[in-house]
Amino acid sequence: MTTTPKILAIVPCYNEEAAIASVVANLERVRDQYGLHLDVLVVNDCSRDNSLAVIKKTGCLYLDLPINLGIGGAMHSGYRYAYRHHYDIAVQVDGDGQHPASELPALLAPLLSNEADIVIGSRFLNRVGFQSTFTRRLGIRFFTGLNWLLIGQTIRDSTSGFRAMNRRTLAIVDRYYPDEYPEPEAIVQYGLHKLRIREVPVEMLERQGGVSSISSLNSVYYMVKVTLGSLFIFLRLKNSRQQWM
Amino acid sequence: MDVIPFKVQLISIVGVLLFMYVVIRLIIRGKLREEYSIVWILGTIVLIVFSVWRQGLQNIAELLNVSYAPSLLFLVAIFAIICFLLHLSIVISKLQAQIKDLAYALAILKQEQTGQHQSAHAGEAGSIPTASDGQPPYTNPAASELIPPVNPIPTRR
Repeated sequence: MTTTPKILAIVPCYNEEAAIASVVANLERVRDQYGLHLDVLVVNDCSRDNSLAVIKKTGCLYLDLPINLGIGGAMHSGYRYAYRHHYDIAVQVDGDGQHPASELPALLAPLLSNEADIVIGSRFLNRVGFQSTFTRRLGIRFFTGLNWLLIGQTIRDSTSGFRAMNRRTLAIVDRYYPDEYPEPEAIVQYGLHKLRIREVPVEMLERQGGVSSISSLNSVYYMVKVTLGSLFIFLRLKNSRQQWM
Repeated sequence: MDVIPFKVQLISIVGVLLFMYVVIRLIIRGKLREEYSIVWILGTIVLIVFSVWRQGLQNIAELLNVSYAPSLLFLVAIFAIICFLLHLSIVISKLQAQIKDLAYALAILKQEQTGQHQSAHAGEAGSIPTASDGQPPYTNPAASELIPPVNPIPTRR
């Protein structure tokens, strides 16, 4: 990367009318502050509130999905946009304001120095900022263990959506990105594609509006679905190389 | 054990013929794709054979040492139904993947149509215009690449 890399900040948005405008504004402020060549792309996943109007008012780029696809589909469409519009780096920044734009440089640094292909912002490395609830941390630890078993790497904050990736990773996720709750599965995908995964400490905030995509009701479904998804993506990618099944 | 009584045979033949008529009517009206109708037509043919050939089921059951012939019928029927349900799940999964790809393509195309305005605004804000800037949407190379490969999961040979 000799010239200034083109960066796309992808902000998935589902019913985030309260927070989305400030998320975009914060990203643009960081862009101006550091002189980044950064575009903001909000992906409106069929919000039922006033999000779309708010997004249009901010004047940033946006994708308006015609049907609700969930966080996995929203991010996949954003990654596909980034890949096909020749961006060098794509960053996921959640639309609820949990991911402070001020941490963007920390997230981008390992990509810019070509030390990693995918960088995950972790709230557990320095233990500052919002640490999530106890049960949720337990779930995250389970996925950390599962990922370690499958790819031999320890990713402390395996469900963190605050991620940045280079073009090499974009080429892979353009073709396939997991559905529904993609974060832990995607780590397995990256690991098996032999991408260099790096975790950097970031400080996260509590969501500023909207509701989490994981409620207590469907958390059991979440655990089962993501565990199965991780195992199957592991088998699929392992097999595509060894061809015994 | 006796063969199927004549009354039952008559009812089953009429029922099967009625079922076949419904399947064919659905195909003619374009409400059922031919590829999915094959399994239904084959199913009805099997049913017709066994309702005409009264001794058939009994003979096969004896051949396989099944003492109660209808249980063989249930076994085969349930297995066939499970296979067909699995087939339907596969079809639905494929459709879902295709719908997702279409939704992406549609969202990206919509974005590129308003791209001129968006890029102009981004330019004001001090960033460098996006790739779609200054090009009509339909000659944009990115747009022509938008029709994605049908199978997002790499197949193995």
